[in-house]
Amino acid sequence: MRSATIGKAGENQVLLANVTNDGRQAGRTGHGAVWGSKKLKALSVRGTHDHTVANPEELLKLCYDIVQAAQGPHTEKYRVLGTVSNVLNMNRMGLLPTRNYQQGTFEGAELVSGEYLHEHHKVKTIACAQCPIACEQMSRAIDGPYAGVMSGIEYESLYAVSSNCGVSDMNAAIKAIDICDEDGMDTMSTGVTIGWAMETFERGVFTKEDFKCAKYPEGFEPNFGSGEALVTLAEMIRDREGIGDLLAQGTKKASAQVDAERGSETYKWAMNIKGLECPGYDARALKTFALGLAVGARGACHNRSAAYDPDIKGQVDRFTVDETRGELAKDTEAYAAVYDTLPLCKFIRRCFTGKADRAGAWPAIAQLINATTGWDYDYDDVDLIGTHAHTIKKAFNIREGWTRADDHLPYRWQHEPMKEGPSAGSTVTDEELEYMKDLYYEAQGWTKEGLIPKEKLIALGMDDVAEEIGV
Amino acid sequence: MLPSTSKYEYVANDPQKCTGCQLCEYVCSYTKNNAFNSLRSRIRTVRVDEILITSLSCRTCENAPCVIACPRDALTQDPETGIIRVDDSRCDGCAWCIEACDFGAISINPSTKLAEICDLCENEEDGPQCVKWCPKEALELTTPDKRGQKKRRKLAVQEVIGAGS
Repeated sequence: MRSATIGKAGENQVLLANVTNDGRQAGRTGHGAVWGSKKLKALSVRGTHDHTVANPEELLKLCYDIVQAAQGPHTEKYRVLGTVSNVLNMNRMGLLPTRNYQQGTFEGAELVSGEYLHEHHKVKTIACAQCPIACEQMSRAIDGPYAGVMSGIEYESLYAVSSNCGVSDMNAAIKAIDICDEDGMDTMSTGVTIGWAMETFERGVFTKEDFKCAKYPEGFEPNFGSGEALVTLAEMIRDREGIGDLLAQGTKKASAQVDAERGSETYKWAMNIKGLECPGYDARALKTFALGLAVGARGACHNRSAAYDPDIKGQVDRFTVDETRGELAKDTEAYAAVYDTLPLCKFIRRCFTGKADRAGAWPAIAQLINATTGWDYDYDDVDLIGTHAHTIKKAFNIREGWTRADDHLPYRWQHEPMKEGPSAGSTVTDEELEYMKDLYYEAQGWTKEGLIPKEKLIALGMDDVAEEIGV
Repeated sequence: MLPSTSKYEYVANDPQKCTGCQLCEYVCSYTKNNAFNSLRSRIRTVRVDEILITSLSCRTCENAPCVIACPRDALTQDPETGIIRVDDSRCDGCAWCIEACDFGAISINPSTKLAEICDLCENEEDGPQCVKWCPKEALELTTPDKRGQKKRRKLAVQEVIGAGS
């Protein structure tokens, strides 16, 4: 029996709520709240039937090689330290979101690094079902008020509740992630929303009075760096208690409400795109990724756009823009969509031939599809999976009335150059962003307004979609 | 005579290494049934909690309780290997063997409704397929005695050369 469930946060229709299965989360965009609104607590499935495949011997042979390759250097990062190894890498490049993206380096980075977690907190590495890699670092808080609490720690969860909230206490970070995981909230959006609340307090828009709760009847001061404030706010968001009711809406809606009520300008540090809170990279100094996030169909999601790759690998100059960026953003998006659609975990991407690019992976993925289904897929067919998947997501947004203006970046990334570190001075100007969006729409074969022309949909065999969105 | 697990080889799991991936279940199910169905695997992973994860399959007991319990004499034990064999023509799926097994290592195949027990892949050239496929080398074909020996050696190395060597 397997169950996908929502937790207290979903029941309370917290907009940051997610759906959990087997200790892993479908984390982003708040569908836990949708389940909660429908009074849907869980979906449980017990399957007893056999699964047969077209060519089992071929499939097993292919899989055996992948399982073996997955124990080698191509997955070492994930197997040994896990994704949390990114903390120090991002810090070195000046990209580690710190104090609600006010800085790109964190003085406490060592204390919340993957290396530190491994040495002091890690209990065991575990795997998702059928995964030969096993990357989840089960880690325990070892001292202080949260001692004994255990959770699986990933980079994107960790940056959000540690550096981004100025917190250098790993125990508090583990506790905050545990609250999110146990009670069904997206760690990233929760951490970034708390970071926004902390900055809003430090800038004097919120006062101690605003943070009254059962635990602190007189209120408390949520300064950056306070692990206790982090944990308390996560609980308040989950329970919609006090100011948690406001924060449960995420940074976009919360900042709009506060600005309307108090005449403030907290939207200037509300770190979201299309209402989805930003991931663990300061994209001011990753220009291709900034484009990828801005045009992302579901907002600021690092899983749907892998456009940080050319920036971080040095394939392009991450501090400037040029005419290649539209094509790059388009390519990484469709690339990610292939893995997400099959689905295959992207961490396996180098285990086919050693190379993660299309030339390295698509023929091998075609073999896997063919052995499983008996179809006759080739490179182009695999590539088309990604184009189809991405096109239909975009079409959904168009149907819901989203336009070119919705392909935006957070105010801070456009108007505040980074102040310190290896990425100091970086920002994405309006001119740069609009130039890159033009390139991107052109690469997609879309109009200048970011809409999909009818001919394009028909060429992709998506006539029904064309009809649905009325082009 | 009392049942004893000390004599024969069986597939042992090192819970320190097991990540709970369940590849063993899929490979077993395919090897035995030509289909992927973890309910038809003769090795079962057990997730007690987030980190306490292991697997169980036939422990090849001497004087096996399952054999004794079977009211239709469908189960017999190979005296050389300890492997329990099920005679499908005699088994009626009464499940007494399941109740008798202290390890929960026997299950009823949901399609045939007959008992199925790990046979250490005695017909496979390269031995138990779960051991072959286990990506973390958590599974091994061994005996309690061999495991004890291995632990003694490990401890001795640590005592003499120092922990972590």
